[in-house]
Amino acid sequence: MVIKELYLKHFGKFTDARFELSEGIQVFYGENEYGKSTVYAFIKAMLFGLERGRGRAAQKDEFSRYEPWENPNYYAGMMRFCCGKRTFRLEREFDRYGKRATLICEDDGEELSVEDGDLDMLLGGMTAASFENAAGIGQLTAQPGQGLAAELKNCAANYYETGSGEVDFHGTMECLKEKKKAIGQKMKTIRQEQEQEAERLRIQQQYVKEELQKLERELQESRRKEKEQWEIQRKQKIQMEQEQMEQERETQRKQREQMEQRKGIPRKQQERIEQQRNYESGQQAEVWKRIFRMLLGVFLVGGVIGSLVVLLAHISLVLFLVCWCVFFLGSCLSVSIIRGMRRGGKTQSWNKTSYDNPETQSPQENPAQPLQENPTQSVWQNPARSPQENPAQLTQENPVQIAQEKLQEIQERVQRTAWLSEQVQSSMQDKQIQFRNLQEQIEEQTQPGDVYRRLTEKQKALDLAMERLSQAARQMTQAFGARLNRETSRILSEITDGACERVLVEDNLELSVIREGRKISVERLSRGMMEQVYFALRMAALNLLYTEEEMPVIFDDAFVYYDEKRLKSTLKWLSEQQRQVIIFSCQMREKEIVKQF
Amino acid sequence: MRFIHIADVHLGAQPDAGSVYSAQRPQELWEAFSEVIALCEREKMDLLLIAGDLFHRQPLLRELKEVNYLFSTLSVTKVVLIAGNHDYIRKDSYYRTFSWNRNVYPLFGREPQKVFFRELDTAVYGFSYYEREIREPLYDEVCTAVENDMRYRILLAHGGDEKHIPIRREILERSEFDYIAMGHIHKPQEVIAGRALYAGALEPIDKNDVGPHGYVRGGITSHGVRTEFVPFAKREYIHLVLKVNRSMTAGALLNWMRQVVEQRGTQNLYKFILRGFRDPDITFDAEQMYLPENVLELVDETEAAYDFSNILENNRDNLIGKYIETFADCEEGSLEHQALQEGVLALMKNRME
Repeated sequence: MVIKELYLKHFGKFTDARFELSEGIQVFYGENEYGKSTVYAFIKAMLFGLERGRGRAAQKDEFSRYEPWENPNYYAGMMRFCCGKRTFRLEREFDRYGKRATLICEDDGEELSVEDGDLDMLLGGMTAASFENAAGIGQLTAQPGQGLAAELKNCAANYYETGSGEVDFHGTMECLKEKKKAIGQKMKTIRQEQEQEAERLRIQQQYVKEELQKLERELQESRRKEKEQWEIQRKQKIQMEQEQMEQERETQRKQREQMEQRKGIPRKQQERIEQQRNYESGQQAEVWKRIFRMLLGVFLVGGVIGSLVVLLAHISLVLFLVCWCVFFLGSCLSVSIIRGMRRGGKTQSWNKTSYDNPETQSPQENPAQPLQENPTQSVWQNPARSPQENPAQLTQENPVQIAQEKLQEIQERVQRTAWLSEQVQSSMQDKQIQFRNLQEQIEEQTQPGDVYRRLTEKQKALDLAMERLSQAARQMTQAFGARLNRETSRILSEITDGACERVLVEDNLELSVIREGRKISVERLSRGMMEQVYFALRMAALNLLYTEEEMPVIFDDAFVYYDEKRLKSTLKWLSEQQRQVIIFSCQMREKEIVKQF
Repeated sequence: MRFIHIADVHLGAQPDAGSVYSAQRPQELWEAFSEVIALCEREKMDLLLIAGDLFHRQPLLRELKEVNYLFSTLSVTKVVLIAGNHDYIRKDSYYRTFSWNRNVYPLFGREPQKVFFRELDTAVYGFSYYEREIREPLYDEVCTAVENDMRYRILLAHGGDEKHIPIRREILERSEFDYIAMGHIHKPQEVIAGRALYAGALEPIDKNDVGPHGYVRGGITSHGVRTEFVPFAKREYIHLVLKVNRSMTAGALLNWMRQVVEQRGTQNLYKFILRGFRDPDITFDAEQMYLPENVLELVDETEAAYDFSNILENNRDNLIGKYIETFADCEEGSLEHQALQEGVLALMKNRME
């Protein structure tokens, strides 16, 4: 790229100022206050635009600095330049209201668009910052020894960062990071969904658990009831046995009565037996002894027919055995007889006491038994309560029969309770299976699905891409570093006539030179030498970075510290370059030296 | 003797069937099962062989009652079943206590057992899972200990992979079994042609159970055994690969998918896999597209249409070239390849013109 013409319509102190430039070295000589820096700023503003700052900073920025004192609305300029054998005409208006830029190819009249990046393309991707760093070596405002090295080091740092200048390393990394983040977000959504599903299952599981606990309590209650009812059943059985025994005795007594009547036992004796309500078997034997004695008396009183007596004795013995048989038969039959009697509505008052037995009543009154809960309760309770409610009827029941019915009811209840326990147990098993099945489902939810696995894979790929990219960038800097070292060394050697063997640009951007086999840090060199080292570095960087288009370089009072010899060899070197060189100086010597070439 | 062989019914499973069918899918498994029972009754089959995993998890009592009811509708057919690794006989399993209908013969023993059907002159061998996994090749021994007490012998077997009773084909082949009814592997297939078959899942259970599903219908006569696989499932999972090219856009892809779904049946469930080289500027993001409702998944395995060797040639000295070089000779489909893709894509986007 070669700048051919600059026209400063209104820019800083210049109004309608026109400068024509040609290829090779161009030297602008001017005394202080001539406006050299303004021209330099103008070139920069034409190439990269001039943005007005915002707020307080705006007061001191370049826009305000070069805003025309008069007619700020005509803050504008034009530049003609040659690029790739075509000539372009670039016009810009910088003022706040009518800001615009036009770019026209003079060869064919084609209008290009600055906004769409056509100019950027012509500039080979160079930005304002990199232009300033490399192509435009402005007035070094820093005081000697104070931050000068740092300023230049910063410039050098920028070469490194952009690497080849063709790819935006940071942008690429940012792009990959964004992508990874987006994938991470997707994965998070999937995890959340899974977690929600697991939570839903857990809630379901909790319900099942609660039901299980409820059933557990029910089972305990049911078991307890069962136990109680067994106890009741046992007592009822005992009572019934007692009743039966009582009845047996009664029947026995009746049999005996009948037998005694048949034998003609004196009424007195019979009455005595009748009086004894609770006689024992021993007493029974006594009675028989008496009967025997009575028979003996009859024998003695009769005493007439001896052989008949023996016969009689035998008969009595047979009768005795028959009596016993009848007694047993009677007691066995009694149950069915009693039933028949009850059906017939016949009553017997002597049973009442057995119903008042507190033992049979106790389950009914047991406060531990919840009345309304157990459906079997009513089945059992109603008939049990009825004797109380209806005492008149009570007296009409046969105790054994009632006891037996009661026992039957109790047995039914026991069965029912046992069945209930079984039911509860079965439901519990069902719930337990449900619980575990849910557990399985929850565990399945924690396993990543296909989609999740693929996303994980992609994330890994992106990580690897970033890692390899950084690695490649490191290699690039190293390779670039080596090339930069070589290029810088070559340029420095040419302009200083081999004053030192080599320049070292190290990783942390420490610059040093190798002179007579010794490594000397750039800060320890003379001011002139130091600037020459940086000059070499800048030129080397330009050569390496912007290979597509030879950008012009601009020096603004950059050679103040150079001695004649070095200046001459530097300008000589510059004149041999393909690029356009624009030098602003307040000294005549550059102009004079250039004239000699 | 005629039989129907089913396996892996997975009653109680909740297969992924997209937004439209997922809700009704569990019920469809029951329907398919009851249709098989109806079929057995209609055709008066002699045996119904269920080679494990009738249930997806431990069956609940009511589920067993339902199944038992269905069995009870069979007037001729006798049912023989085993428990597989999914519905294995756990300590609290209802399989232990459930009382089955008279025509049901569960082989729920841990040890191999057999049931005789004298009227069919057939013995059916089998045993059930008591754990989720069995790594021992238990069928090897069953195969060597077949007795000749019945004319026809059938084995009900479940498993066939490393964790679920590994099976050796040659041992099955040498055995005296006329037919080996196998379960566990969901894809219907023949282990020994016509003699040892995986009936496959009656209905596909997982979205990777692609292809047709159904049951095996067979018969054994003195001439030997004859079997055929009968496709029966209501739905099919279909995986389709589309080779995209540079001219394919998201809209064109969507149109193509709609057409395919229309052609191959809207009752089926689809997964599309995109391969090939796409325009680097185009992305196929399932979330950005209104996929037809029975498309469960869209997997983008396309690569940006970059000619890496060409790019490398043109960028040998810059970051792009250096980056590509770090992936020298990486295999296609590997993580490296994916990283290469992603990196170059990002680099090309961030090239400074």
